[in-house]
Amino acid sequence: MTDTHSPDNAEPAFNSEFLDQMIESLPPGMPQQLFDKLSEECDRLLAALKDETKSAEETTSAAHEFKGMLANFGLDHSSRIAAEIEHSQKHASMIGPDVARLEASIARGRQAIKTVLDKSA
Amino acid sequence: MKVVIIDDNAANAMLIESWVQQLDDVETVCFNDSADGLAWCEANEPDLIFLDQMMPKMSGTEFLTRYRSVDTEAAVPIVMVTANADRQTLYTALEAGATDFLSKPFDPTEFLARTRNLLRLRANHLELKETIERLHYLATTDTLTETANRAHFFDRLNEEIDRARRNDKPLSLAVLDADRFKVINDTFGHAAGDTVLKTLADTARSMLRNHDIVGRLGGEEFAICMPETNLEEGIHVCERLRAAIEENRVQLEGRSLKLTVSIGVSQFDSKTDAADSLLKRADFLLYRAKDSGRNQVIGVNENKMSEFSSMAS
Repeated sequence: MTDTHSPDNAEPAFNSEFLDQMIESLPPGMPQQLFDKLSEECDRLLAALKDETKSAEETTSAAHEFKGMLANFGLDHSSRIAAEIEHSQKHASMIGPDVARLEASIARGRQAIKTVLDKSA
Repeated sequence: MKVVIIDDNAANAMLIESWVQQLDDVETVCFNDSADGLAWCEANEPDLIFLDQMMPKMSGTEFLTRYRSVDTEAAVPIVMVTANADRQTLYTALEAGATDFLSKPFDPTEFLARTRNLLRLRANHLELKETIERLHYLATTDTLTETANRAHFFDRLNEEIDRARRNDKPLSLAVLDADRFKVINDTFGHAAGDTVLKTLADTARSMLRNHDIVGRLGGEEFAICMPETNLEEGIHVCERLRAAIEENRVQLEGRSLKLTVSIGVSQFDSKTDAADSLLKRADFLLYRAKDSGRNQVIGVNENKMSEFSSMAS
């Protein structure tokens, strides 16, 4: 369950300006397809981050990929959490944010984007 | 224009592709595996590449280094896309041959403007390349017969003479002239004369080896440089060519015309010869062939020339 009292919830779930630009510029249906692909990739990368058999290097690489992808899609806050995970993986002594926090932030972003896309459809 | 997107993250690749597809006249190809992308780019000439920096198997920098070793003119623009916006990553990418650098997340408006500019530069580059190729063709080729023009033929002949001298190999030069060409021109017109010249050039090309050089010296006169060929072999080749031209009748205005040529052949003498003297000798022999009734090949070596000249006179 999402913690509604988390400080993450105070941050915008996504960059609405970016999403508006996508909806205005791309052919109808394309933003939905892109976010479907984003969801698939989020699931893959979350699984990679949770997989305890992965090496620290593999986990850092997954967090890095996550960071770039989320930022590209306007999920800025989630991207920052992924960056923190990447940073904490690189510096093993640091205590990093847990993956659940990232998962919750992404879920919030997905829901908010879905609402906008449904309205624009 | 072919735009290639190489990013191991399928969502990122699809996002870039969807923006690029907003531009006119653009085809996109996406790869999530950098090795597959490299293989494709090596086999097909792309017009623009978007390349992710951090990828498993082969990083963007490694891709750049390997691809630039194939694309030696560094003519295909490559944009490195990365979530690491630090200066060191930027320097490394540019040093390895990246044309431009974009940090994730990128602004779509900026992204499209940069892409448009790079594709415009690429189009200019391709146009310039084509113009240079065309100019080179015009500077070196006789456009009617598509053989070497006089200047280019002499450049090539001098190169072959140097090679023959260096390697102590024989070289023969033939000068060929269409018999009674003026009559053909006067009777059938210049277009018919052009057809005859093209036929002569085509026949010569089809019968000679790839490394033999055919050039049009002017009018109806052609020269043939035959590297690694002594006089006897040169005469043999030219005799076959003469016979083939005689056999292949030219069709002009519904009439089948027999065409013949006279040919003079001489072998290069590394002690005394230069291109000019070799050509002069072959030309002299050509006119001996004409004087002796046309439709024949006459070949003589430098050391027999004085004897031949006195016999001829």
